[in-house]
Amino acid sequence: MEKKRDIRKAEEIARRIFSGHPGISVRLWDGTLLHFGNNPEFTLVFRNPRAFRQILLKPDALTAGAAFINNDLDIEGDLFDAMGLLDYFATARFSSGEKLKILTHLMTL
Amino acid sequence: MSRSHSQSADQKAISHHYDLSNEFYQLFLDENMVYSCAYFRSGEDLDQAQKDKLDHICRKLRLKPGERLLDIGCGWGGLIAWAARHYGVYAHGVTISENQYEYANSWIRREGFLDQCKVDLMDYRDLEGNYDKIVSVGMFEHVGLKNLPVYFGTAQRLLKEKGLFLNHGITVSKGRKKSTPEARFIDQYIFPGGELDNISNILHRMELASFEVLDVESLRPHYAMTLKHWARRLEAQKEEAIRTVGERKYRAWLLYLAGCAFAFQRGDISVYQVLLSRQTQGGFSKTPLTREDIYTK
Repeated sequence: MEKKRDIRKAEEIARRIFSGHPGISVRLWDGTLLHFGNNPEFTLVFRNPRAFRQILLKPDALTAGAAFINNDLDIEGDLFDAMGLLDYFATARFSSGEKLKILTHLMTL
Repeated sequence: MSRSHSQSADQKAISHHYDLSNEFYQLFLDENMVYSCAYFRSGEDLDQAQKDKLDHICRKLRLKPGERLLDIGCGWGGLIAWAARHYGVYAHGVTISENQYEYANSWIRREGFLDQCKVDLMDYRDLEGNYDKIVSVGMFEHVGLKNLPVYFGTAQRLLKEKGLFLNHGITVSKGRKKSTPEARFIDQYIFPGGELDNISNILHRMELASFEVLDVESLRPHYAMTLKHWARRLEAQKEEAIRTVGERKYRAWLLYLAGCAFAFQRGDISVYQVLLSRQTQGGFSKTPLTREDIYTK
């Protein structure tokens, strides 16, 4: 019961964050696979909810890089293409209402 | 990120990266173990591109048989071996990486260049001598910005008047903040103490050290291509890489190679070759009137 709720929350968060992305897949720690956009060239793999929360709260090269080294975060497919995510996060525009919802969900994950 | 850059601090920082494991670097570098930006003038092959790059450097320096060449930060010795074999120079390389020093010496011995090549395990600041030509490839990013005057001053001191100095190194683009998350990642995991500057500041420092700037060439697209080659080759050897350096180092290096390729492509960083003439007295430099000799056989 607890696990299902985490996954549903994570799906909700992922949808809010990535629905504007041109093409990305996201795999959660239970194997749930989400697709956004068209022809995703890589899959972002979150191996646990802590990594999911930490990275999406502060999606930059240092947080994501540290998680990648620890294998809390993995990339399947073209690693070079995945680097474009840094640009995506730097330029993604969310309304303050959206941001608040995303933050609240992340903090209570 | 203020670093001391004392000799011992620099030795530790260099060791962190370059002493990782020769076997590991052999998994993805070219056959000449050239760990710097290649020069893609004849197709996509990395081995050829690194040979072309070594040639490009030797031609820019107008190396003549019998001349004395100094390579500051000589790595595994690829450039000094190439210069000795193909241009007949006496090549002296220095490095503070023990693994690279050992490898370079074995290689020189194996190839039979002992009378033309010498590698020393020493800090460049301790060098004495009077060289005809100096080259530095992918080294000066490690000296620290506050030490750039010492670095260029040392090169000036070691070079004959009107001698040529080719400095090949990474720069950061103007307008890009120096302390980005990317830079902090690189400093924390990959190149502790590495500091980049804008090409315009670097040229300024070069002129202050009595060098005349003769030629500036940007090789930015070449480095994006080189790093992509390295990342692909490393990923293809994942099992072996993890066996030699463990999973964390493998993943850190793979990420840094792909991340830097992206940074070069984006234009956050660049890489330049700057050809300099040591001019403390008047008169023209010793280079020909045009650049044609660099490109014709």
